[in-house]
Amino acid sequence: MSLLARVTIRRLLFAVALMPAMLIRPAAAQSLDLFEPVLLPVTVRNVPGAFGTRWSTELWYRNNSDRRVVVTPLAMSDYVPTIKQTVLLPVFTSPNADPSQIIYVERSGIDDVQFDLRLFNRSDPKSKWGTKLPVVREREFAEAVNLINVPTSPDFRSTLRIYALPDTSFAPETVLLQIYANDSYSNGERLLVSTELPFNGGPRYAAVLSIADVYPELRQVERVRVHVESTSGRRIWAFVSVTSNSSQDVSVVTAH
Amino acid sequence: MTKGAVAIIVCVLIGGTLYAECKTDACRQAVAWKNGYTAVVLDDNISRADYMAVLDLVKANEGIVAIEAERVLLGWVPVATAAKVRGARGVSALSYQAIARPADLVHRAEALAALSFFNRVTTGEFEDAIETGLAAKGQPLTGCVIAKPDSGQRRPQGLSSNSQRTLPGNISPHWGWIQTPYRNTQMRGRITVQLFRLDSDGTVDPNLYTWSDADLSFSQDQVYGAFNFWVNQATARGITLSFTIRTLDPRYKCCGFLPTPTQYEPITRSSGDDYLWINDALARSGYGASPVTPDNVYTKNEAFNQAYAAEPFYGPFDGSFSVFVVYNPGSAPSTFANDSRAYTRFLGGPFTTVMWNSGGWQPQNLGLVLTHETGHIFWSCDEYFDSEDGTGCVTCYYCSYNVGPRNQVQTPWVTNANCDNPTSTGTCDVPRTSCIMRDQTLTLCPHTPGQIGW
Repeated sequence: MSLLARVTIRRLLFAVALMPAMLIRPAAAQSLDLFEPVLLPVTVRNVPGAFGTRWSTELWYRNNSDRRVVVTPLAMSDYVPTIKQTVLLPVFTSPNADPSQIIYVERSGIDDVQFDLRLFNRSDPKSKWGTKLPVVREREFAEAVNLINVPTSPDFRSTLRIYALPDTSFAPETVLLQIYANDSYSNGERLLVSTELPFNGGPRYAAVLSIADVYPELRQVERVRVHVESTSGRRIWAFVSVTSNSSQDVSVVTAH
Repeated sequence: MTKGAVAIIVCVLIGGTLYAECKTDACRQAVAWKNGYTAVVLDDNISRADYMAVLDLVKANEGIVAIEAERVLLGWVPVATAAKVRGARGVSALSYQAIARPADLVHRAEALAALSFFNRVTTGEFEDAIETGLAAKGQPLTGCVIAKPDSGQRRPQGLSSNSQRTLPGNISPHWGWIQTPYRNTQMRGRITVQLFRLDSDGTVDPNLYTWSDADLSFSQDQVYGAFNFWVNQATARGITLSFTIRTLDPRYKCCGFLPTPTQYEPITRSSGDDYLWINDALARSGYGASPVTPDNVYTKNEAFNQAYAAEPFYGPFDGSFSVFVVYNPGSAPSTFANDSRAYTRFLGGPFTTVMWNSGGWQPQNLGLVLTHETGHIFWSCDEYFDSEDGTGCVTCYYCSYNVGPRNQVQTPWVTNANCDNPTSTGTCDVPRTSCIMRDQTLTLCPHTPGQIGW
């Protein structure tokens, strides 16, 4: 047998030997296979806001399946929520600049459970049955987010909040923020603001409180489109809360 | 002969070798703290200033106070400085050995119970219990499985027909619990622990199980023993820590306890009903809630804890929480009706619940279970992972992401790298190590200390 043939056969045997190893998924790659990270954008308890408001959230939960589904972390140790009952989940609240938190839900059961995250103005609890806030699943994070029909009127304060999924990196990072005029009677769009925004309120959180106050040029139009884009490829999610300065009623603008 | 020496001699050895000492290394490790264990007995009428001076004196003389129990301090005082501590104003005795007639020295129920515990430690009787407990393995302390629907379903306020709220359909938000600022943010300093042993009085539920005197006494020992582990670990790290036990069960005659009555038989119900029996217990101290809702009761429990933390004689304290012990002897279920076992509600307090027999761990491990749950009170996370139920810790990267007193962007990041979840993210310890938060062994992994603020 020629040297070339021996080398070829040896390579083939080596490749065959490698095949089983290639079929086995490395354990390190199975990151959190059992659990899906779920973003709670705001979880606060009695936090003061503008015009005498005080904000609290509740997270209600229901598991419609016949098997329990693990949700963690919860403020109560050793607790798995029960099935087929609507319960108030004992989640933590966030006292710091970042009002959000990530909870993990068992992937195999996440499609069977419902969440209702609701924001209340404690200073006037009977004015409204709260505002439903999004509970954001992993698949809803994307490299760019478009939020349309965001008001700029001084009657409202529109707050932009941006989140990225947590990881082990603490490297400084930014997102590209572009705000376009989105006038009712114009077919085109005008770029009003283009800036890089650092994650400034937490490891993976940034906010622009009352965007029209931060960028007064937005006042020249009635409503805008907010475009947020990751500069690193990290997936992000964002929303705008629109709060009436007179009634303190809260509306939510999301991408979908 | 000095006054101190006389008192030390008065404290005679009793019991001889009635009780066996540890036969296994595990047992010896579990009671390693008993070496040099010391009881300092204080005068009944000691002033607050003198009480605090004694605490300072013990520390200044390289001693450690682990447990404060009214007029008894348990801990470790070096023999070389024992006479100095004994000679302090307000100290009536100091002993390294069992005290023959505790009732001659102390007259308060807590102090008497503490001395009785001390005696059982020094005679080896307590070790017998520990040895028996080490042979028992119950269900995991973590990963509680709730297979049955809660009977104590939370009812939205204002919707019930007998609601005291004003407008039908107008539901007020819950904001009474998991309040910030966070409580018990670090296991340091002096911690006060309010203890209740619950017993049904038959008013609402049939009275199925009634504490015996012996079991009350046994459970008291287990509670005292639960905290020595944490003090020992803190001391090894140069951290000052002590626990003041305040048993708030009714007093019996001069110096005994009766269990705290409740209208309910807790072990027959869901743990979701806990606010009912906790309210019964707190109401006896003037902290009953109205209306009796989970939010209101937990809020009252927190206020109650804070009141004890600021108590004028023994306080102020650096931390405070309550312990409720549910009695389920013999053939009683070892879990609540919803399969829940011992648990802490919530991280940071206000309370933890343990059972006489938590999930089959047997009464000899009541203290071990309480040791684990005390970790949760101070924000440590489980490191356990139950693959069958998919419960326990999730990631090695952190304990809780951006919530709680640590793991905020402003504070040092604390990992949970001993997490036993095989699919954990982050860098996990290889191999995992034993830990009170992982496998209920009386040791700490490198990460739990950071989680509790050490």
